[in-house]
Amino acid sequence: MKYRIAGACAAALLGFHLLMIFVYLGPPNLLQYQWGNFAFGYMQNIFYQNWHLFSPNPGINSVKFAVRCADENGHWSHWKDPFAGALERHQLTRITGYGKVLALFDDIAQSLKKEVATKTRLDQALQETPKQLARRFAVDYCLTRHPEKPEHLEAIQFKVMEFSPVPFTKVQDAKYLWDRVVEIPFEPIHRRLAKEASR
Amino acid sequence: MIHKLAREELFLKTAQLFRISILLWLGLHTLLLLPFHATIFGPDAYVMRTRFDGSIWSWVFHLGAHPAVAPHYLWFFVLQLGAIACGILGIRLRITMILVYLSTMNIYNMSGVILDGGNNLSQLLLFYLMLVNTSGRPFGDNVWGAIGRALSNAAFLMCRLQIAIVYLTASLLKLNGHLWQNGMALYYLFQSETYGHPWIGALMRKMPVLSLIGTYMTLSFQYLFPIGIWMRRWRKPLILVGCMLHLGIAFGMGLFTFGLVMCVSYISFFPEEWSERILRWMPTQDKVVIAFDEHCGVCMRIASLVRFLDWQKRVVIDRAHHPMDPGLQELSLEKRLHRMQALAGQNHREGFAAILELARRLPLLVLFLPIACLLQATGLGQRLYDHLANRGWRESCRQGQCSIGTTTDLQI
Repeated sequence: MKYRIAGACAAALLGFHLLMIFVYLGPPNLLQYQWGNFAFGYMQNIFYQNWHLFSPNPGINSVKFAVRCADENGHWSHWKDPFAGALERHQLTRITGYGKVLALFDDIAQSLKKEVATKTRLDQALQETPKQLARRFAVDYCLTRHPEKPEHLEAIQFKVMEFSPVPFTKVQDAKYLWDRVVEIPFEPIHRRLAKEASR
Repeated sequence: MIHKLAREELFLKTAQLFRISILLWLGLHTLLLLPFHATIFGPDAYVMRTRFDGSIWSWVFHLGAHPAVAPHYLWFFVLQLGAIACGILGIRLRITMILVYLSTMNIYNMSGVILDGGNNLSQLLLFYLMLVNTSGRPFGDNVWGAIGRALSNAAFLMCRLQIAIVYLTASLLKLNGHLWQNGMALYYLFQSETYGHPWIGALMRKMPVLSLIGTYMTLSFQYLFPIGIWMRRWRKPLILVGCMLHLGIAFGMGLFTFGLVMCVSYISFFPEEWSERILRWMPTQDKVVIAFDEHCGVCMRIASLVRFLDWQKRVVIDRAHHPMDPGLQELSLEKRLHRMQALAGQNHREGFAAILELARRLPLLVLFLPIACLLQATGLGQRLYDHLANRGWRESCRQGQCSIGTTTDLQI
């Protein structure tokens, strides 16, 4: 008898959990209409899951972030992709953490692009906006790692570039690697602001 | 069927193997990220973080965001790696698995942007594994045993179902994607900077038909897996194809930890006999009786060293000439003296295999286990053992006295 009761309880728990997953992951339907709030509350903190895995369509465009710095004479350095080295290492060998580092940097560029495209306001729960984060990163990069870093940093500027691949229908006649490149430059930030950002 | 959940240990060995594999993956995941810890997890990491909101969930899962805790974020890694090591060795599994889960959730929440589907799956599996009996030893035959067994079996079944749900959801969502429908999803994926590779991208541009084959194969696998994996006949081929697909994702698309955790997750579908066979090569908590030649000084010094390293008391040291263990007494004296003998439950091992049994139980020797397994599998270990153990210095031991060392200060 003890086996039957214990087994039935465990099976009931399993059934309930599966039902919640079904409601949570399923399309908007009658079940979600009635149970949605409860299921979302049940799943959100411990059983959160998202299995899009490149669906419905994988992201087609690549987004890059570039930074340039100016010295006290107003002379601007070349634009540099701060993540080029990490990408090169990631492509050389996959068994490293560079893939995750690139995901982190990619998020800066993607968030900036999204912020510009949707003109979203700061989410109160976030500690920094994408623009604030990008500015902090760009200042640190110009001060420490930019190959042409000036002795006295006067200003920084960053931009986001979006690369669209050649469609498969045109690939035989394509002369270039990318079909289209769109640049989204941001306003230069001068020393006073840069200092604030790095602080 | 329902009472079977509480009456039988349905996944005893598979759950044990699964726990070790998931923890090994998690350890590797953390070690790969450690060189970049300040960039990814530090207080000044380039990550958009949510504020610590003081809710109960934040205290449990998002403690790293607390202003007082944030500068000490590395302690989460110390805790996690320590708990993972204990978990792999099977030490205090109930507490260890809870610590692994909590530290992992806190680490994941410190930098949400780097998380992928593999991290999402691992956090769910780690939660379910807290409820599973992964010790490899059955529950007792009382009421609590029945409850524990039922919960453990249901939670392990949930691990399997969760993996099937991943494929089911992903495949159904792909039904709406025109790139998956026309077979060009992989073409575009491999052109991207983040998930592509210059060589594979160039190959795809030269032969877009490869994308067609790859995309439809991926889709077919994702549709088949949630149904076929429950059929014994389909299980092996599906696991093989799945491993190939996910290793392709790991190395081709650069999602190394995602590809690897998906391969590791298939272990949960292993039948008990497969797991049992694999576990013979892994660390264990079960005791082993080893016979050392009490007339041989070197052997007795090794016995003392073993006793020193065996702080978990997993090795019972016995004598080769006059054993106390009835199992050893049944073996002939010649056999006991020719090679080191080990009795682990019903299993009898000798020579290098006995040394392997020692390595499975002594925490410090566990590090050498992969090399020892390789030596054992190739037969080199046994040859090396026979070469060393049957040299001239051991000859005198067989007659009851040994030319090396004394046994006066070494007691069994």
